[in-house]
Amino acid sequence: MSTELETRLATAFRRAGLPAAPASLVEALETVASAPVVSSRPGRGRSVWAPLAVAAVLVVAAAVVIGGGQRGVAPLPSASPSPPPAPSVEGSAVPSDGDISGHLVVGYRAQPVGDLQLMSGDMNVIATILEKRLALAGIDGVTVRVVGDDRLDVEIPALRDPEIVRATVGQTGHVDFVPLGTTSKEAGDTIDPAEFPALFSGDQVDTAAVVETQPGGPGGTPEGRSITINLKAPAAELFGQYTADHIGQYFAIAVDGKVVLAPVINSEIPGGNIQVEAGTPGGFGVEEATNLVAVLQFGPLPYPLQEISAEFVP
Amino acid sequence: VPGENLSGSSLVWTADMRLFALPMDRHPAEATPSAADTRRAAFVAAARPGLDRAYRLAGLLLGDGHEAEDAVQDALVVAWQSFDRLREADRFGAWFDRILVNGCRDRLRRRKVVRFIPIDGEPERAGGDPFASFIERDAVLAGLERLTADERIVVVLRFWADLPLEGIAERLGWPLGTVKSRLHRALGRLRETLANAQEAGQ
Repeated sequence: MSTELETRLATAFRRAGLPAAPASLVEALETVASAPVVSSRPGRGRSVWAPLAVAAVLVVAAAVVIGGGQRGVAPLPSASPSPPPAPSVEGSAVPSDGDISGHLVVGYRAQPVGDLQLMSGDMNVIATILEKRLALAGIDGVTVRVVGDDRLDVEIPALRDPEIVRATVGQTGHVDFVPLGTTSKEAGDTIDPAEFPALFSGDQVDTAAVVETQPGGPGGTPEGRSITINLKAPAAELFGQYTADHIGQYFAIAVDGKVVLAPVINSEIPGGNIQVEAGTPGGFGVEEATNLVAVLQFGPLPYPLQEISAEFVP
Repeated sequence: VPGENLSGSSLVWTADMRLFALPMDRHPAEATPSAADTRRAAFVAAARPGLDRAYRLAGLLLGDGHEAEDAVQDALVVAWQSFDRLREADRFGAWFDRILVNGCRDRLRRRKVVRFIPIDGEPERAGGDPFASFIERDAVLAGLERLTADERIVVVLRFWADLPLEGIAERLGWPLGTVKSRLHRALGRLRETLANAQEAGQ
């Protein structure tokens, strides 16, 4: 049934153009075969020994590879890239299992940024961005309501996990693309802008999307969920040039100063079309992928929000 | 007895994982210089003819010449250390394949954690790597980049190395059914990638 594809594959592979082993590799063969053999004592079971010897060599080899290789991001299933900024006032007001009606109402106040004071209409902008973020993340039933010049309430139905909503609402969503050089960082690490200045920021993102490459087997797990990001022209040029010159180095995407992803640059990435993929089964977690895409797509909040109250309303 | 005479010695592992120095005259594999030389010559003679093939196999699996060279070198180190376990000399090729492919698989899986990959990247600008340009020049091979490590290995062993499914199962130590299902999945995904590429090209 796949005969045509199979023929095409075989033909493509058979095409000339694959290089022969370089001279350095031929030399390496001689060097390798001059190394002392990690061996067993005579008369003892060799079968016990040889695996140990191989294991020892493998450990060394693995260490070398890891040292020079990449340390990726361990996606945290429901990690909030930016936790709620303020300790919640009555954060534990979550209903018991038997009570699934009612709402958790979380109140937020927008914080002025420097000399910038809130203007009328700013709260509506914030509310709209929050609604779009929540909708993209597939969080239904949450209501965002402006209740004052610098205040809004978020009503979370009792059935929803309030922490996911808080994580989505509580982050300002300022995205930075930050070269890390040879420093590896993991999800959640803070980036000091003095030490690692951003190459460009989220405003240079044209579009962003979550891509499911192929739905997997019977389990239904999506295989290889990845994030695609298209950059605007200036950043595309910058990123192409930067990746060409820094292959093998780390590059972070950070939200509100914290690392979300820190992949290794595998090759030059011209044209500003980036795909970031995670190799964990199923790729990225839905939440972290949609969250990053949401902040990229809808931009940061003009003013950061601080949680000032949380109350369960039956 | 360990520690009795440490001069002119070589190192020996014991079962309890302690490292001992063994007097030279007691070394098992190198009791005489000629035994060591024989072993060395046999290894080089066995490995040299397949070196180009091994390099290409690693290159197609990893899509990167430098990494392929490292992978083959690592495999040679492992093979040299366990060469004495290989009873049938004519099985060297398959035996070495297994070591190499497993090493490449580890590398692929490790680097698959998170990475940037270009979309619609211009093939000419792939950094001049011979394997990358070989792969990118053909739409059907370019689809290899979208496969998982195991799928990619199966495709390369089946269609480049021309191995039967049984041969692949043996090299990877997988049940035959696993090889079949991974190959099936890989072909399905390649077909889809190809269709998407054609659609985008129209």
